[in-house]
Amino acid sequence: MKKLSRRQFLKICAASGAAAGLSQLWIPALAEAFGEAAKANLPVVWIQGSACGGCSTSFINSVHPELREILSEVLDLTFHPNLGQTAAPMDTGRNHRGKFILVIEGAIPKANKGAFNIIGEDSSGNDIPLIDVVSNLGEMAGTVVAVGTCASYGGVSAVEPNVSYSVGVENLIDPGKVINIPGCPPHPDWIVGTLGHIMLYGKPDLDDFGRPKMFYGGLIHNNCPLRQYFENSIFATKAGEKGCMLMMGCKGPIAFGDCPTRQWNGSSSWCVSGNAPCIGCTDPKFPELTMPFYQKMPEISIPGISSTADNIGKVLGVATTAGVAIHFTGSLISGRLGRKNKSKEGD
Amino acid sequence: MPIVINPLNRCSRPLKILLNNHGSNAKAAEVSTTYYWDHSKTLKGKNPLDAILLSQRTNGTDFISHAIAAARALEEIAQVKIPENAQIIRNILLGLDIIYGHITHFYQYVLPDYIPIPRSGNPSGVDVDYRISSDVVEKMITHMWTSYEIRRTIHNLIALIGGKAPHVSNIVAGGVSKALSGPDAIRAKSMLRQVSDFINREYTHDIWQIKVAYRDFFNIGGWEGRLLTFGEFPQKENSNYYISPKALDESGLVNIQKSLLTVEYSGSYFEAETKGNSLKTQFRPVPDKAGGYSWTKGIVYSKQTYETGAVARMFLSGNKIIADLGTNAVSVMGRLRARLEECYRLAEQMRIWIDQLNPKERVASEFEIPKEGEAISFAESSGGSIVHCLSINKGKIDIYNIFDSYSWNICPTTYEGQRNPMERAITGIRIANNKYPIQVFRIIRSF
Repeated sequence: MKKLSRRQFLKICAASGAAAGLSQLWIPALAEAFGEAAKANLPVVWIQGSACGGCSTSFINSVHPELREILSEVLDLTFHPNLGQTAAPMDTGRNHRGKFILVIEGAIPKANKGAFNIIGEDSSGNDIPLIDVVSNLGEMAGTVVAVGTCASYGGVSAVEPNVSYSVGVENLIDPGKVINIPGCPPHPDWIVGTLGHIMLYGKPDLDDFGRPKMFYGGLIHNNCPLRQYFENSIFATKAGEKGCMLMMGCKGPIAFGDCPTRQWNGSSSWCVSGNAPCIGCTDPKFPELTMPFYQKMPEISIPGISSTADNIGKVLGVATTAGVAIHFTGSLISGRLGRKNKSKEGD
Repeated sequence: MPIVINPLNRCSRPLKILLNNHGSNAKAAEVSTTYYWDHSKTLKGKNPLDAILLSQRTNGTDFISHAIAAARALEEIAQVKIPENAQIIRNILLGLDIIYGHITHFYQYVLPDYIPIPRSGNPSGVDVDYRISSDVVEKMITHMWTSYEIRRTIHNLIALIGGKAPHVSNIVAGGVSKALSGPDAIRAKSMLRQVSDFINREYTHDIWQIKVAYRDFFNIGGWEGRLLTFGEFPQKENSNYYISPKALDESGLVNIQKSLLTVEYSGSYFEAETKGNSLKTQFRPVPDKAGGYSWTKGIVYSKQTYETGAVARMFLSGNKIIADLGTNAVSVMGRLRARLEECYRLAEQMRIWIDQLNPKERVASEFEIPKEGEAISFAESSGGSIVHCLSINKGKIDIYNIFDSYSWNICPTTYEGQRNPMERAITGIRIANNKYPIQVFRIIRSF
C-alpha cells in the first residue's frame, strides 16, 4: 500500500462514522501506522494511574479484527505491569529513550510524596509511588499521551477538596511533549487515531489545551443534531421532550469534541441520543465546572464577556464564540487559560 | 521470607498480596488495593442528581450497577416507584453489564493463568502448570480475540439503549430517559443473539476445557463460604425477583436486614471523622495510618465478612448446576462456572425482557428530590454486591459512601480480627514455586 500523506490521514481521522467511504480507509490507515511502529520497534508503554479503568475499556472497544494483533505487537493489552514487572517499563524507557510513547490513564496524586497511589515495590521492598514512575518515564519518553480527563487535567480525581492532590500529566512532565486526549472516557477513535498520527507523522496539531485539533476542533453545540431546536428556541424541560437540552443542563456549548458527528459505539449513538444533556467531559475543568450536570449554566450579560472567553475563541478558531458567550457567563469561562496563555503570563 | 506480589494486575484494580509462608505452605495472607479511589469527598455538597453520573466513574466495567444503585438511593428517599418499562430497561442494561464483566473477567483476567498467551505478562522459563494441548490452546486464543469483538457488541448494545459506553447517560432518578423503540428492539435482539452464540459456543467450550484439565481446582480456593446477595432484577412493582436477597452463614440461609450492615475500616488507610461504624460514617484518607494496609473501605454483615458475586447469586438463587456443587461451589472452578451459568440465564432472560417492553408506556416517574433524607441502596455487579449510602441535607449531598465488590471480597481485616474471603481462600494453600505462585494468581483472579 502506498504510504498515506498526512493530509489524507487527517481527512480519514476527521471523517464521521456516517461517511462510509472514508471510514473504510480508517482501519488500513491505522494498521499501517501500527505496522510501521512494530517494524521500527517503537514500543507503547501504557500505565494506569488513579482511575476507574473506563479509558482502557473504551480503548479495547477499538480492537478491530484487522487491528488487534498488530496493535498487540506494540502495546501490551494488559495495560498494567504485573508481578516483578514494575521494572519492565523502566527498561523499555532506557532502551528506547527519547523515542517510545508513554500512555498514562488516570490522574497522579501528589500529596504525601505520592503515597495515595503505590504502583508496586522494588527488589528491596521499598514502595514505588506512581508519581515517581510517571516522572521518570515521562522524562525518558519521546511523546506522552494523557488518555482521559483524569490523566489530562485531573478530572474526577481532582475535584475539590482534592485531598490526594491529584493532577494531570502535564503538571509533572514538560507540557511540550504531552498530548491530552480528554473525555470520560475518550472515544476509542481519539486514542488510536492520535497514536497512529504520532507513529506516522509525529505529534498532531494541538489546541490551546493540548488536545489534537483533528478530534477536538469543534464545539459539541455547533454540530449537535438538536441545533435547529436551539435556533428556533424550542427547549426540552424534561427527558424525552423534543427540543434543545440547554435548559436541562447541556454543556455542549462549552465542550469541544466531535461526538455529534463521529458518534459512539458502532457509530450509532452518543450521550445526547440517550435523551440526556452533554456533561462536558472533554473540558479541562470537568467535572468541577460542568456540575450540576442537570442544571442550566448561568446566563451572561453581553458587556461581561471576558477577554479570556474571547481568547479561547480566537485560539481555537471557533466562529461562534460570540454566540456561546452570549448564552453563558464569563465566570464559567474565566480561569480557563490554556497552556500558551499560561506560559505568556509566566504561570 | 514472606511472598510479596505487588502489583498483581489483571484484576478490576491492581492488588498487593502478602503471604507469610512456612516452606511451601501459605500461613497467613494479606490482600489489599494499592491506590485511593473514593468519591465521597467529591460528591459531598453536590446536587444529589449528579451522583448517578459521577458514581459510574467508580468502575469502568461495572458502571451500570453504580448508576442503578445511585438512582435507587434517590428513589428510596423520595419513595418513588419507577414504571415497569424503566425497570425492564434497567434490567436489560444491568444484565448486559454483568455479561460484559464475566467475559472480560474470563478472557482478559483469568485465561492467561491457564494457557500461554503471547504478551500476557507471564514469564518464560517458569513452570506455570499449563495442561491444555497446543491445538486446543490455539483455538482458545482465537476465542480470546473474538471475546473483544463480543465485548464491543455488548457496549454497542448498551449504547443503543443508554447513549454511550462506558458510562451511560440514560439512567435518571425515576427511571430512564429514553424508551427502546420498535426498530431498536429488533436490532437489540439480533445483537443479543451474537452475544448468546458466543456464550453458548466459545465461552462454554473454553470453560469446559479448563474445568476438565483443572478439576482439582474445584477443591482449591475455598473458605468458610459465607455468601450474600441483595437480590437483583426487580420486576412488576418490585414483587417478582429473579434473584431474591439472601445470605448464607454457618447456620444456613438467612434473610437480610439492612440494620446489620456496618463498615470495617480499621485495616484500611481511612480514619473515621464521625463516631460509630454505620454505613454513614464519614472518612478521611490517611496514607500513613498505623495498622492500615488497604485502600478499600470494607463492609460486613452481622460483623462477618461475606463473599459476593456470581457464585453467591447462583448458589443462593438455587441454580441447580452451582447448588449441586455443594461446598465445592465456593472454589476457583466453582466461581468460573457460576459466571458462565449466570451468562446463560441472563442472555435467555434478556430476550424475554425485550418482549415485555411496552413502547406506549412511560419510562420515568417525575418527582422532586426531597431536601432532606437518607437511603441505603443496593445493586449487583459482575464482581459482587454494591452498596450506596446517601444522606441529603438542605438539598445537597451530605454523605455519599460507595461500597463495591472489593469492599466485601477484600474487606480489610475486621476489628475482631476476621480475614476477608480472598485472604481466607489463599491461606494454607500449597505453593509449588514461591517465585511464581500461580496457585495464588488463579485463586485471586477467580473472584
